[in-house]
Amino acid sequence: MKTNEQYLELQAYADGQLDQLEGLPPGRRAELERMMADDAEARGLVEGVRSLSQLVRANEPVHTVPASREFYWSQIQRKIESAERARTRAQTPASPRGFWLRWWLPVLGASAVAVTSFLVSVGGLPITRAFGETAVSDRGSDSSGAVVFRSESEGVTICWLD
Amino acid sequence: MKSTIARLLVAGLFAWSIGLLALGAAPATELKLRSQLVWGTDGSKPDGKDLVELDAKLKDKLKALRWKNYWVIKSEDTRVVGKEPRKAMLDKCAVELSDVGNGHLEVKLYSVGADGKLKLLRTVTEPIEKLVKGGTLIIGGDSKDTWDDAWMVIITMSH
Repeated sequence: MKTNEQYLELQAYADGQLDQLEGLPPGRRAELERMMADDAEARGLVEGVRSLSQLVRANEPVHTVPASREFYWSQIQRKIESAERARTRAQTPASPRGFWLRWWLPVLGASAVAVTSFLVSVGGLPITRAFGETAVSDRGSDSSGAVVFRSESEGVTICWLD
Repeated sequence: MKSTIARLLVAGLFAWSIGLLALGAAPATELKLRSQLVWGTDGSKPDGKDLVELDAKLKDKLKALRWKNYWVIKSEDTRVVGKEPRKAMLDKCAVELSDVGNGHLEVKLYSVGADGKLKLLRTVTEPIEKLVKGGTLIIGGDSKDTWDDAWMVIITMSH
């Protein structure tokens, strides 16, 4: 029968972390090695911990995300932001100021989009170059959200719908 | 001398007017576009479906998306001339393509309901020059039916 302290020391020995244990008396490693030579239970515990560790390392599942890292995370970020917006809307009580904001913000937004479109059409604002190869949030004229990804080097534009 | 200058001016104005008229009367550029509805999956080709593997050159352009396999469900070539919208029906969705006149192609993506009615999902504009130079426009989304799969409509020039 071993104490909890002995079990911890044996596990740390198996993991190669014995030296990191606090308050370990000098010469303890040699004592543990002697214990393992004489004691089948101690030896079995160390071997068990080592084989379990190897098994975990060898069989750790690898999940490859089905998109580039930036694109994948921008989608998740967009979903989180969308959920937060919905929650905030639900919690915000109606007020006269909110009423005006609700009606004027879309008008201002549409104006901004119109001006931007005009600038792009006359070649004054190279939006795609400004964003480069990054994913940007985009909300079109309809109610659905989307993530737009542009790669100038590949000549690819991806509009990913929520 | 004065009359020569006056004649030159009149001739110049005449040539300029003819040029303007010719520009106005010039036929709109025809765009030959290919719209493909594509299924992105890590799985194998679904049984019993007549799907074609996506062209290797186009697949190479989908580096931002990392599905292993891309299967073309339906492909349709469309000729777009000017602002007149042209539809390409792609199985459960449709795209409406039109040259909006400021150097941009407008793409309207619709879903096709069970009753055949079209519902607008998204409007996207893309510079025509980019497409002409070999660019690719992709509108897609995650599959609602199969976890980890995706659908996408790929628009390129048709050669």
